[in-house]
Amino acid sequence: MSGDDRTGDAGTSVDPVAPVSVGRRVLFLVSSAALAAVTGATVLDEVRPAWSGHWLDAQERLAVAGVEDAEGAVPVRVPQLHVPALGVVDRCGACHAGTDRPELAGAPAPLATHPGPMLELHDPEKVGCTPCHDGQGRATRLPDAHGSVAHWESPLLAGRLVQAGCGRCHDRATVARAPDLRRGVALMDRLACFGCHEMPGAGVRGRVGPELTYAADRASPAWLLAWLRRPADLLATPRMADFGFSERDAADIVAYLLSFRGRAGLPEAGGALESASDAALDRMYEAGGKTWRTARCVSCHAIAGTGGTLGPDHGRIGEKLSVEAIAAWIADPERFLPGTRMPRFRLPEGERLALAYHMSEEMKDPAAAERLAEVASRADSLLSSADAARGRTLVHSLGCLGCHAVAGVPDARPVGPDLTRFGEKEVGRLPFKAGWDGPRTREAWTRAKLESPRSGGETLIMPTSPIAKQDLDALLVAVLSLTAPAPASAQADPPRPAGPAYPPGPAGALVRDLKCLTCHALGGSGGTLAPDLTAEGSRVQPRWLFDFLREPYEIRPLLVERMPRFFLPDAEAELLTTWLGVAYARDGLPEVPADPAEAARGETLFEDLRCRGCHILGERGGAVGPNLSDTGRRLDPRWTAWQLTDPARAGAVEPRIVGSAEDARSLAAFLATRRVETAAPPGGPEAGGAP
Amino acid sequence: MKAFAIAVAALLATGCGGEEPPRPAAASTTGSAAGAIGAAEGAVLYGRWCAACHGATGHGDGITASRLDPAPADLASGAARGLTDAGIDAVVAGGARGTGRAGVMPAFGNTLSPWKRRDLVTHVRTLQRAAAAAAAAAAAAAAPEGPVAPD
Repeated sequence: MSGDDRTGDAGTSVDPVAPVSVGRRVLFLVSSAALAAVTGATVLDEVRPAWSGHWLDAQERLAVAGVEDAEGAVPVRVPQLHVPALGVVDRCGACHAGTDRPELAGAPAPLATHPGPMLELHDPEKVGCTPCHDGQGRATRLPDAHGSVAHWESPLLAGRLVQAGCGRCHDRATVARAPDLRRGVALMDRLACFGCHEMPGAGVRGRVGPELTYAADRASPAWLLAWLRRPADLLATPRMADFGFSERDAADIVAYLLSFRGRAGLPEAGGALESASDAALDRMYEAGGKTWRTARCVSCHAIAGTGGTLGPDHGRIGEKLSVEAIAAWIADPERFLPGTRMPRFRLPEGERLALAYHMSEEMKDPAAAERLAEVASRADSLLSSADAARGRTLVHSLGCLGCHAVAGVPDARPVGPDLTRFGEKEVGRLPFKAGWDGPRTREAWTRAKLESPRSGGETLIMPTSPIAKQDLDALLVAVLSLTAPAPASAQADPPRPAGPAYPPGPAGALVRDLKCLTCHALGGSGGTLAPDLTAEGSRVQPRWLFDFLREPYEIRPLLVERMPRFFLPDAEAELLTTWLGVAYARDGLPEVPADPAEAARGETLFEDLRCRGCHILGERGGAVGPNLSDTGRRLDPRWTAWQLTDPARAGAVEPRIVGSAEDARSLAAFLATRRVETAAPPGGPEAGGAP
Repeated sequence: MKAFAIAVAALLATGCGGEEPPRPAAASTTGSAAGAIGAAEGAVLYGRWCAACHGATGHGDGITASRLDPAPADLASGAARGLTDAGIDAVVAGGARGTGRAGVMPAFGNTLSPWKRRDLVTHVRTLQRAAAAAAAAAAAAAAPEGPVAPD
């Protein structure tokens, strides 16, 4: 500074005839040198761009590996994948020079081979790179190519997020090798995100939780108050999210619910048991416990975390519902939750009441009784000053109707933003909160939203659910996968019906009443928990099916979710048997003659192919697959022979180990000879009951 | 004026240094992400096809193991540790019959693709590392209980 004390301002008033200062000369020289250097670098970059260095590196490595066609030449043109059908122009190969070179499997990025089997399954010439990975395909420089630059709306799906790309062409719920995506989609379903957000593959809005009109008839005001304040206080893993209601909010909502009281027409709580003696109650408790076990309620309802997951955990149902309310639900679940997955069990009224009494006594947490009593003691004063009109506004504006129906309210419009195309929503339109100092990306915003839904402002209403770290990662993948399907893609997202399609007619009505499709598929619609019934008429023998429908027994010893006992009357069991036999039989099954030589050959094969590893036959065998000891009574040998040649087509967890149709026939002939000659089927209805 | 010169120099420096721009972390983790996805898929496959016999932790103590003779192999700390990846793959694909082993393990070669089997092998290695870590932790915990050096 001391050598040149004239500032820029002073420079404008320099005398034009004064000699040029030293500083100006230096500036001129430096500027000239800079111009020359920049020009040189630009020319050099055009002749030898950065990506060509990666090519040289790859060629060198290939030459070391002894690959013959490695010529060491650097391409003069950018390697490019052009897929007009998808609108893809991808130059990712400019730097990722070894993507399709197995010899470079261990090379460092960006030269390494494409990991995993994906290039075998998706021909890069037909698919390109960006339809799965995102990024800016035409760019050849970092970070442009990875799209981590301003206004590029689809940056590279980095790390495990790449699974979000799978959802553009494949069914997001089932696609292989995208475990986080599948898990995230299942989680979104369980969290019922679709209650408040429009999204593909969603369940039925308003049919997630029970009808609110009857809430005050079924549960006490104290329970409702406590539940609204904090569901996690009353259930370890509540499906309902925490809306952060204040005590006043909760009281107002309960006041609104109480305005419907009497609609359910339930008998007075405690009325049915008032006149019962202690001894009679004890007998009811015992009988109800037996019904709980024989009906296999635990197949769907866990008790404090142990049991099935199709229905809610009933470990504390006794705190929520009165005996009368439980009995009324069992009598007709559809009345309180239309479209429920729970079957209508054919229990006589007395047994129903005994079961309800057992549940009400057995399934509660003694420690919670005190807390509920404390809320109950304040409930009257809270509710006396509550504002039911405000409660109604809360219920209608916060998205309660996304999961619950209220009588007289038509299908509620979702209260949250449409997420159908969230994965391609412009980053500039995401409401980043004031003072946001992280990266301004869709991923970062979504992660923050899922972690803390209301942190972005006072007016946000999204409730919170406790989400574990890995669940959050999976949810993030699933949310970001919500994009338009890839154009002209061969495998479009299959339409997923909101509920199973029940067949028409009286048998169809019975199937609907028993909710068979909660677990079984029939004609391409329904659950995957239990065997597909589409060929049931050919699979099992009518006599066996009739007996099994009336008194199911344990076929697969390891399962938690087993066929419930519906206490079906003979007429209904017969209707189902006849109907399945006629409507769901399969033509063209191979004939299996009852030939002793064939059966002997099958017996050898049975041991040889290690069938016993999974199946019990007689005394020994693994308990993974069905017990085959009574196959002669249970299965039709023609179906067995057909099934064995490709077990996967019926969705069975069974390896394909039978090599030929001939072997399958021999095995079927052998298994057809196996019968348990006793009055009762193996296991019996009581075996392996509930805890 | 000097400030301007410094700015030009800085521009020059960034212009020339542009040959090797900083690489986002994502680029270098792509491989490990694919590995993690494969490992997660392997865990799912293992749960579906293997765990009933070999057990969730691979110690051959699955829910049906007690019914089998000979008992299922301990994958986590048994002889499977000495097998190569290809060796494990051969057992999965061929079962007891295909590899001439004793036991009732069926062949999965027609059911699980080579890539699924590779994911399974990855998971078996994960189980082996977990078992080794557990054994080391147990040994470390047991050490203070051992004979104490004399004063």
